[in-house]
Amino acid sequence: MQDTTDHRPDHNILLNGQKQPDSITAATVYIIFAGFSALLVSMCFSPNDSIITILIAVFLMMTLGFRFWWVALLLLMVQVGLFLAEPGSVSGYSNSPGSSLVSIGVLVLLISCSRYLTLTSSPAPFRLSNRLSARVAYLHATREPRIKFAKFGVVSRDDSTVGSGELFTMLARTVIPVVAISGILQLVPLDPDTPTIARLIPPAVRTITLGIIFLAIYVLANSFLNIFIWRRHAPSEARVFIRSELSKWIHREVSQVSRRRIRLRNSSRH
Amino acid sequence: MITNRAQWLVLLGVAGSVAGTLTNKGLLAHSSLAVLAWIFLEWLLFRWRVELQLRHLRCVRAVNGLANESGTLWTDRRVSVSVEIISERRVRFPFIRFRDWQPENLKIDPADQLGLTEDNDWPNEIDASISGEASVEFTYTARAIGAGQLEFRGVSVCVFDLQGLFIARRFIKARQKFRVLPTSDAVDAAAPTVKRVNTLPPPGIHRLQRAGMGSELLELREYVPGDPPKAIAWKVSARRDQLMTREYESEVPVRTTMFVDCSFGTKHGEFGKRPLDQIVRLAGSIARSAMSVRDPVGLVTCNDANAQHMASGTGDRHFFQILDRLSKKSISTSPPPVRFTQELMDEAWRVCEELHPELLVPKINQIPFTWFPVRRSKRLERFRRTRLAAVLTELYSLPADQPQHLIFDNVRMAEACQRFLIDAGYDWTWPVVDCRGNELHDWHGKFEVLSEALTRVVARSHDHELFVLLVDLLDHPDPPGRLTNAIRLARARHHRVVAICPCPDDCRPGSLNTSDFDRKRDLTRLLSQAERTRRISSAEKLQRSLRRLGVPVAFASDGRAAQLVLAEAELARNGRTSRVGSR
Repeated sequence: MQDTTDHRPDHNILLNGQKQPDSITAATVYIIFAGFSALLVSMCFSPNDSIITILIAVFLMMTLGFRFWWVALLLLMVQVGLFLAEPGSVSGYSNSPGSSLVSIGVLVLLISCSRYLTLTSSPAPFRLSNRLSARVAYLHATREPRIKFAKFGVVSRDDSTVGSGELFTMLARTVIPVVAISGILQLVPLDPDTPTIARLIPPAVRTITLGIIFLAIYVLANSFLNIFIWRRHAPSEARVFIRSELSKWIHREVSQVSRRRIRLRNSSRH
Repeated sequence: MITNRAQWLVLLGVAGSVAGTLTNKGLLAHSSLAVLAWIFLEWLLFRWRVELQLRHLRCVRAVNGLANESGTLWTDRRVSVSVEIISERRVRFPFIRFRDWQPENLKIDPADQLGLTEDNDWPNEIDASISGEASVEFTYTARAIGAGQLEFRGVSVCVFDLQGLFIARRFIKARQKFRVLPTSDAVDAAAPTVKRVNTLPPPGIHRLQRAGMGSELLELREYVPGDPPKAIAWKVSARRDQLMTREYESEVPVRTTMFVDCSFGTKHGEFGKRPLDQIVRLAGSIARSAMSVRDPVGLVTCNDANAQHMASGTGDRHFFQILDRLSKKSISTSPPPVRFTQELMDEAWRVCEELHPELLVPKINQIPFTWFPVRRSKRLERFRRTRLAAVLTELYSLPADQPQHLIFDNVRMAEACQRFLIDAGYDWTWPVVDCRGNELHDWHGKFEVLSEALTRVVARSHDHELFVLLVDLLDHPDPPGRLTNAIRLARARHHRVVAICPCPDDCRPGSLNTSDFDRKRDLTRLLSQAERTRRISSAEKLQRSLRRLGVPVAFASDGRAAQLVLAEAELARNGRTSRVGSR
């Protein structure tokens, strides 16, 4: 008889919190569902339609029902609400205290929700390739909060999303992005001639400029970090990097040689 | 590094920003951009911590209170492991998870933990929050389940941010290698080992207080069939009107030689349940019991190619030498090459992710761009294989063109994966070795070596000796095969021979009882029942064929196997031909 049972404890796999290439979390499924629904609502119905209120209420109920995915859904609901409720105005970019307060509120909500979910969630990914795994994912969405962190951890958090010593960092987390974005929005240059030259509407020019600014900031920060980190790499990491860089250039030729060798070996065996 | 949650938040943030700016809705754009800026800030902080602060963590592990790099452990005995993570500089990790790497030969039972009242499914893991230079310590209890070697590699570290946006894995090395000796059970011998009350005076001075073929009278007892006629005490028998037998003291200790089958076929399966684990455990028990009555014990270890002899001896030092030899023989055979399978690849990838996560980071281990294979799942599989090939090339210092060869050559990749898994401590478990049924035993080589070893020992023997064959014969189509002549030679020289066979599932093959069978006609159960039926039939056949040669057979899973050996030693000692009422 072929004894192909793997007797190894499976918790090595379950504890693998890193994202698997062929596995997605249950939250992702719900977020995709919610995203498509919201998109449908935005596209098919006019803002004054009463059915939108009903659908938003349904979203809210779902949010409360499945707390697992309410971070992204919360943001989506806020965005849909702002999109539908806010009248279009160019002066919206001004650094008004009202918009900053709303942004801070949104960030506080997102951070609190994310922290709560992180501290109560299991890092196990679900493979939704079959019905059974999907069912497990669904059941996991209604699980009890994870209490191991509080009981076996060094720092007892008592299930609180923001610890007593973390209020300052929480404040910094919310205020710094809002202030930075206000500054960037104020500094976004809008040359009156640019829309004419680029044959674009002013908001499109503004969007493109913002995108370029963000990309530049990301690239600069990434390069800055890479410079620091590169010198601290272990020799083995450096060797793997160099070898992979080299193989990127010559992999086609080497693969052909390798395949030919295998073909010759197989043919000589036969 | 970035989680699904962060990906979706970024997507929503970008969509909101674009929609807000395009439709002139300032508040929407402001909020969405603030979300993007927050994620960017978190990413910056997280990367700083992972890349620059994580390197300052160090691991110190104490096994049974000692932090030495090597030592000795015993199978099935409780081992206390204490792991301390020390930060050499000031660091800040709001949510970090440490898990001590669990070798395959180590069993951690959550119910076995000392001092823990709460249910903790993963005793070798701890979630922590580190700030400053504080250290983290956790303790758990485990047991080594198979003789051989056990190596602790280090601690797997998983860093999260508190918002669940990013995740990173690293491995802190802390190597400790231990020799695992088999625990030997104390076996109660069938015969008493203390001197009984003499029925006839005078009491002499006895060197060994056991019955045997010496000149000093030990006791008189009733005659039992099989006693030699010259031992009958005729005068006492006439007086009592029943046959009485004189028992003399033993003057010559019975030399016991164990032939231990360490061939490849006995090393397949889960640690602790391998046939070799059963054999080694039993060999230790037999050696201990025999030495406790001052019988010298010798050892012959055989594999498919050769045999190694250890001269017989007594005493604690010799006993530990036997255990050490058995322990070494449990690890030293290299398996034959395996086929490349998806399971092998998955297992190697999983272990590589745990042990060398830093070498699998996409920034370090880059993949050449390719459109092929077209299917996404196949392409991801190819990416994984490419990354694994690069890591294996680095670990085993292969030439620079080897990664490409490993990607396309299944034979080489299988060899490399097998080597990697064996080095990581996954010695004999599927899929590192091919599945059972692919003719694991080299019967010809094994029997050749065993016959030669047995004949050689018989040729050197002087007195009545006991030979214990701890050999896996259950799967042989016609047992004992080529061993027959050697066994006959030993029996012809009046030696005692005992055969003990391991069972694949550590379960004694008893009589077939159909009521035990499950009525559910599940394919796995049906296969299991068919295997059990085959095993019972093989066991009966083996017992029949060896009885014809005068060799009693026992199974390693049977608790009476060691007693059978001691009973045979007793027979060899007192010169009788058989035990009463048995056989």
